[in-house]
Parts: sequence; C-alpha cells; structure tokens
Amino acid sequence: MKAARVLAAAFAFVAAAFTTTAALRPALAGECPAAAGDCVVLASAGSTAAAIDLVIVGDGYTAAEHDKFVADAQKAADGMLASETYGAYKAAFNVWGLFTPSNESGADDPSAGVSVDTAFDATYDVSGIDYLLAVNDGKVHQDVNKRLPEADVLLCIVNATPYGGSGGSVAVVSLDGNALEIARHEIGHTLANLADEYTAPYPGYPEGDPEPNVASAAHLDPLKWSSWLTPGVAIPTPNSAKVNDHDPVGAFEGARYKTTGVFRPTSNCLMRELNHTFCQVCAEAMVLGFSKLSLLIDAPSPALDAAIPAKGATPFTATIPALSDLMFSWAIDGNPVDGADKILGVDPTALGLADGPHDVALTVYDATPLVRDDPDGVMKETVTWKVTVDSKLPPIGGGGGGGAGGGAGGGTNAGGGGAGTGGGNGDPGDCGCRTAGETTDPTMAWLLVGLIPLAQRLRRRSKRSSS
Amino acid sequence: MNRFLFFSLVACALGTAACAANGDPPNGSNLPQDGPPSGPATAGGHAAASMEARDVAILVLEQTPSYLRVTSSARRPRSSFGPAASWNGTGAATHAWKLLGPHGETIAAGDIVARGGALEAPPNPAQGTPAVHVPQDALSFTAKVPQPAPGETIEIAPVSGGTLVARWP
Repeated sequence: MKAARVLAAAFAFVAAAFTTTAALRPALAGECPAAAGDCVVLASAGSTAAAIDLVIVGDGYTAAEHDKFVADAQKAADGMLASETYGAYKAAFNVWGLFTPSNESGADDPSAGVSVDTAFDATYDVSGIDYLLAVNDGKVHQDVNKRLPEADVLLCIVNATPYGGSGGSVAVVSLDGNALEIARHEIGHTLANLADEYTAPYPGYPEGDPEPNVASAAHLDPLKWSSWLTPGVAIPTPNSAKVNDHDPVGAFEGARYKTTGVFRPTSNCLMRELNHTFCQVCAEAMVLGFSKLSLLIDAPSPALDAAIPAKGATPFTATIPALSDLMFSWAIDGNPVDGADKILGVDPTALGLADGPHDVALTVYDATPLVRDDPDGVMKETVTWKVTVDSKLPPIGGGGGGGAGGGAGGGTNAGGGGAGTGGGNGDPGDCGCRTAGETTDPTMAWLLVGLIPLAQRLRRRSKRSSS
Repeated sequence: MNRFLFFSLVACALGTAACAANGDPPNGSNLPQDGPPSGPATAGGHAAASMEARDVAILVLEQTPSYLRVTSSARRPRSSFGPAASWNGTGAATHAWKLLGPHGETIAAGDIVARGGALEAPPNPAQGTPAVHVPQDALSFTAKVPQPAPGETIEIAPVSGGTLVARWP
C-alpha cells in the first residue's frame, strides 16, 4: 500500500508537470498561410481545423495606410472578442486580417458627392439610406477565396468614420465606435441562425419561426426555449413584467418584423436592438454555433495508432481550447479512469494492460452555463486512441535497468485500467494514470519534473521489496 | 538512468507543447466526434467514405435574376477545415449542391445557406437609426463541396426552383 501511495504521488507529480509545461508555452503564434499574401494574425486559437476562422478585410485603405489597417483590424478583432458571448469563446476564434490596398482612401458617399476608387467599392447611402454602408461582396468573397478559403465568417472594415454598416453575405462596418455592434448582430444570423427580433416591417419575408429565438402563436406550448423560462412567468409575457432586458425569460410579443403573432424570449436583446447583449436564448444558440465549427480536441498525442511501451507512463493529451468550463474524462478499454485533466499518464504495467491492442479514450465536455439544451450533442467530443502495448519497446523513463518488476502484472488486466486496479502487485491504488490539478507556477513545474527520477527510484525500491 | 528519465519526460512534454503550439496534428485533425454537423448526404456507405477522403473545393458563386455561376474556386485538404469542412451556413437552405458522376448519377448532395439576398442594418437607438432591409439583385456566396474527380461535376441550384443552375468545373 505504501508503495502504491508513493507511485500515485509520483505520477501525480508527472501529470502536474506536464500540465504546467503546457502552460509554460508561449501564446499560440499562428502563422498566416503563404497563399494569404499580406496577412496578419489578429487572434490565434489554434489550427484552422480547430477554430472558427473570422477573416477581416479592409476597404478604402491605400498602400500607405497598411499600418492603419492593421491597427483598425486589431481594434475590431479585440472589440469582437471582448464583447459578451463572443468573449466567453475567445479561445475558439482565429482572427485573420487580410490587407488589400485601394487606390484611394475612404468610401463613396453619393449624397455628399464623394466618389473614391477602392478595392471593394465601399459606399454609404445605399438606396438613399445614409448609414447603409455596403461593399461589392462578390469581390470580397473572391479575394478571400484566393487567399484564405478556410474562412468561416467575413467582416469588412471600411476606412471611413461616419457611422454605417450592413449585413449580408459579408458584414460591413465603418470605423465608428458603435458600428461594430452591427457585426456582432450579423454574425448572430450567420453562425446561429438567429432571427431579427425587431418589428420593423420586411414585406415579402417568408413566414414561419424556424429560428431558435422566435416562436409563433401556435408554438407557445411547449416553447422551444422552455428550459430558460423564468419560473412562474406568464405566457405570453406582458411588457409590464419586464424587470430588465433579460429578466424575465418568457414570451414577449413582437419579433421577426411583426408586432403581433410572433414572440421573443426577453424584453430586449442584441437581435432586437444594437447596444444590448444577447439574451440567454440567443447566447445559447451562439455557443452551439461556435461549438459546431470548432474542436474541443485537436492534435492528439501520441498518434492515434501509436505503439506504447509496457513500462513507464506514456502521456496522452491533445490540444484543448482554453475555455473556462471544460470537464475531462478518460477511459481505458471502456473503463473509466480516475483522471480529470487534459493529460493522462498511461503506464500499462501499472494498469495491468497486457501486450496488444487497447483503447484510450478522452472525452471533453463543455459544461458552460450558457447552454442548457444541446440537442445535437455538440458540447462534447471524444477521441479514442487505438494503441498497441508492446513490451519490446524501451520503457519510458529507462525502466529497463535491472529489470526490477519486469513482467509484473502480465495477463491480469483486472479492472481493465480502472483507477486503483490492476498493476503488477495487485495493490488497489497502484495506478499511475491520474492527473493532478493545474499548477501555475513555472518554477514549481520544473521542480516537479525534477522529482520524477526520485519517484521512479522509490517505485523500483517498492517493487523489489514486494517481490 | 535518472537523467535519461528526466530528459525523456522533458522532451515528451516539450513535444506535446510544440505540437499544441503549431496547432498541426501529427496525424491529421479529423477526429471522431459525437455531434458535429453532419456531412453531405451520399448515395451509400462507400460513397460516404469516399467523400470523407476527398479534398474540399471552395466555390464562390454569383447569382443574378438571369444567371448563377462560379466565379472563383479553391482547393484545400479536408483536414484544414475540421468540422467546418461540410458547413455551408446555418438555417434554412437556399441552394442545393450535387456531385454528379460521369453518367449524371448523383454521388453526393448537400445544402447551402446563402445570405445576401438583402442588405440589413439593424436598429440602433444610440444612433437614431431604424432598421432597414434593402433587397439586392446580385447575390454572392461561398460553398464548400467535395472536390470532383475527373469526369464528375458539381451542380448548384436554388432550392426555390427555376432554371438557374451552376455547373463546375
């Protein structure tokens, strides 16, 4: 038992060291692909496969205004990722800035008699509406497709200061401090299929309520957002019940371009008016949208079909986004393992795993309180390694010296790797697979790494004494 | 021996960190997942496997009342997209794509959600600006489809019917 405790502590040290080593690495330094041309990384969360790729292009920036574009794009990226809901998932976003020079600076403004030659033909005053600012979205799509076709969402910032913007296949904003609100709203349509909750008429718009944040009168019972309803709230919810923008959650009449017959969850929301935050229902839809396009588990290590030595702890891990509510669980050959971190040290001998094929599975669950309903199961991912334990491989940690403990536990497999089972001497708790809690002090991390040899020595000594 | 152990662990830890820093999986990043967006509908299991192995073609389309055409194309490995490899927007489909074989048979199909039929400016009381929607005659959008093999064709058409159709290549 004593040996088991020593071993458990040693492997906990190992796991802590690995965990902390990951924290030691520099911030992910994303690199623009060569094909992207004049490109800058404005925020980096990981590979284009793992993250949502927001691409910011600029219009009305001359070649001499390159640095201004970079500064403006950085400000826009920071503004997006600092805002509510987007900010909670900052770790899921890559933001790329693609510079395309224009011959002239600014944007057209026909009502003011301003006409300039820009790369994407930015213009205010579309259809005589002075704040409706748009670009030639076909040109934007073609430019981005040549340079960074991994883009998921496009935002064009226009080098002009009057308030303006628009949503369509490309979100467009001016440099006015308030214009970025338009992009936050428009990306709600793009990523989460959110409906507009305002009531200004939109003649010809298709009837129905397919979006997650609106319900017609025929669909009030049950409401699609029933898990968010404030207990005891009246349905429909009178305006007089309003406590604040998002309280209560009920069914307020007026949404989707109609004043009657269509209902929204809360009194106000970013999908109803700019300069408000997403309500609970819209925030949930946004997070589900983020999760559909990003990975909780990327770059698993070792390789999914790796051969691992029978002796010594092979660290299993992956690149995991730095989200705040992640939960980890591990299983070996289908049996849960007592590990709750993103790294697991797998020592087949200690676990009683015989030579041959075994499954190691990591499940990551995003337990964010922003989501209550996850009908498609996108808040959870599992990766399974199909490893082969091979006692002919050199042991991790040089365990071959002296052969102490060699072969112990062969063929027993009791518990199949469950925490505290198996192991060469059959002691409960003799499992090196658990991971320890996060350690944030780098100095402590390296001290812990230094303690590993000591732990190994103790392990060998304990095995000798038990045999 | 202890030194060997120490350096092995350090190298392993650094390797893990480097791998994470690169964001570049040593063995690809198409991980099995529980619930990401479904891939394209296919004619059968074999075809489905075939689609998963194909590169992704990224097409830019332009639509007016009189034509629908591909204006730009790119090709990338499926692994560079992750779960977004078959994502063509969220919501009600506006267009559908088909991968047609050499004899016109449908090998795979999927939906596209194109935004851009109208320009929108949401209401902004802080600016005193009401909501507007302005319909657009021309619409541009991007679609991700399986890279066609020689002799195969991608066909894209609005789900609302009509005669518009784009074929590529």
